[in-house]
Amino acid sequence: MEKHTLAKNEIMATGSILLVLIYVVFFTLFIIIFPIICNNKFLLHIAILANIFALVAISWDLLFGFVGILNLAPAVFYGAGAYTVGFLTKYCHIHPIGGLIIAGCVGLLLSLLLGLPSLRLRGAYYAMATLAFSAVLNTLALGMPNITGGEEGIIGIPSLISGTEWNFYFSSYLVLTCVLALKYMLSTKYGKKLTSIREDEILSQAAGIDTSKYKVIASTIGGVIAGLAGGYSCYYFNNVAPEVFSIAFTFSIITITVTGGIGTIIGPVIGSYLLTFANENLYIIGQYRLLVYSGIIIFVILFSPTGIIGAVKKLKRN
Amino acid sequence: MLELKNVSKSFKGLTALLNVSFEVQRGEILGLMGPNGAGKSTLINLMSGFLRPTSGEIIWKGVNIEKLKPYHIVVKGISRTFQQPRVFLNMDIFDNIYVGLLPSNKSGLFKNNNLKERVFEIIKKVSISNAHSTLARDLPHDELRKLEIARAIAADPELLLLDEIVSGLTVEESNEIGEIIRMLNRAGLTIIIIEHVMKFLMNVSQRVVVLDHGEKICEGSPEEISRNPKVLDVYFGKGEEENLA
Repeated sequence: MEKHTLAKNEIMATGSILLVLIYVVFFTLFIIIFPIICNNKFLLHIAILANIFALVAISWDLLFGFVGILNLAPAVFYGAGAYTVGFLTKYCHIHPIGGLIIAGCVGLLLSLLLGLPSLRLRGAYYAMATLAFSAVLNTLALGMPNITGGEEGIIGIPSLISGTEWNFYFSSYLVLTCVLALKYMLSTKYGKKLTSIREDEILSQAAGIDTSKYKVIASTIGGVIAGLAGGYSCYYFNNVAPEVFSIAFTFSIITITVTGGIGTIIGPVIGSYLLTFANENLYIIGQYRLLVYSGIIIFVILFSPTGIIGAVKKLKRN
Repeated sequence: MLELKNVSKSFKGLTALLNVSFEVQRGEILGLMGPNGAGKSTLINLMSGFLRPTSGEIIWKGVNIEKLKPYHIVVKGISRTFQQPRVFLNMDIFDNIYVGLLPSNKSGLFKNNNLKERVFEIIKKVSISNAHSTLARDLPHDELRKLEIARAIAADPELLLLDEIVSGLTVEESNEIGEIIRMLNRAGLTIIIIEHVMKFLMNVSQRVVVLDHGEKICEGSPEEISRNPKVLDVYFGKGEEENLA
């Protein structure tokens, strides 16, 4: 009977690989064809924004959704990546590819800096510490205009890639690569360890897992992804301003992840596309957008706490 | 195999354990008993690295382990269960055991080798009757207890610490757990059981250590313990002649 179960598992695993391959081919073709069918630069621009937000949301999801670390400053890694590119371009005239790589490295270093306290601080205390860190960076960005450009930020950054279509391709494949890499990683032994930490950190330790090590590793991967997203955004927008550290940005990332589905990796991408496109229609209400975001979070928590992905899974089961 | 030497533990001035010393021999089942507040759970937390002793030594196969982290102690060969059933509630039976297997498996980060077969072996060993895809949160209490044991032995320990493993179980269910414990012991596993249910402890253990108010008051075979006046005094008060067994 066990052999039958094992054989069934193997068949299911093979089926899963096939399914993943079909998804990869489908999305690769979709990304190639979409700009041709769409033929609308504004829509492509929104899709690029959605891709940038999706990357940051994925990194936040990895931390909160899989390890249970409540980081209230996803903007820190993103903003640091963006300012890194800004500084390197303004002061060092570095090649854009080099700038992007260093932005990822800065995300890594900052995530280590913020990840280490997470080993001692728990829950709300760590969340408050990250929020404070975000505020510090925001103040520095505003308070040192000679270096950071103050409120205006650093402007005149050259593009990494020219042309909206090519930016769409680049950002889309960046998202696809991150999703596939993380999905694969989370399906391995490493992923099971991460999930167990989210479920019960004390029990994970009793099961022989060095929870501190895995929390720091997850934090580091998340930091690199968000740093890369920040670096890329600086090249795409050709500038960086202190708003990248704002609470509003952090709030958007959390809303995107909650809406799409926490702990799913693909959920943040769906949430990002949905909310970024919706957001474009909310510009007329200005600051009240935050109210709408809050409303979305309350709605999702009340009616589908597992987000869109969870709701779809529930529908499938029924 | 495991030796505790004058182990004491205080919490902000409150003494939970005072100069407790005993040894566990390879291959035995040692029972730890005592009334509420005797320090039994504190002791298991010390042996598994979740607490550090205020003073004293815990020696595992000749090496001091009192300063090691819990995960390190598991890798060294000591695994535990918890007083309140503690499993990964949102994971299924398979994954609960699979996670337990990971630290002892050195096949590399991304290889699974024969871990699946090993999970099914363990499921069979502890007689879990629910399907391996059943979520832990949907399991009845007795199956949760078996799953705890399964997760703990998945780490391939040499010493298993069971904290009130039959608490909340019926007599039949307790007997079944007792059989599993004896079977694991026959297979070479050394076991320490902390238990409130004295009849169960006396039946399963080969030797018993009794604690009261954080101090060891005696140790011996279950028969000796059941006749020990100090133990009778702790459990039934002075002058009580009733036999524990």
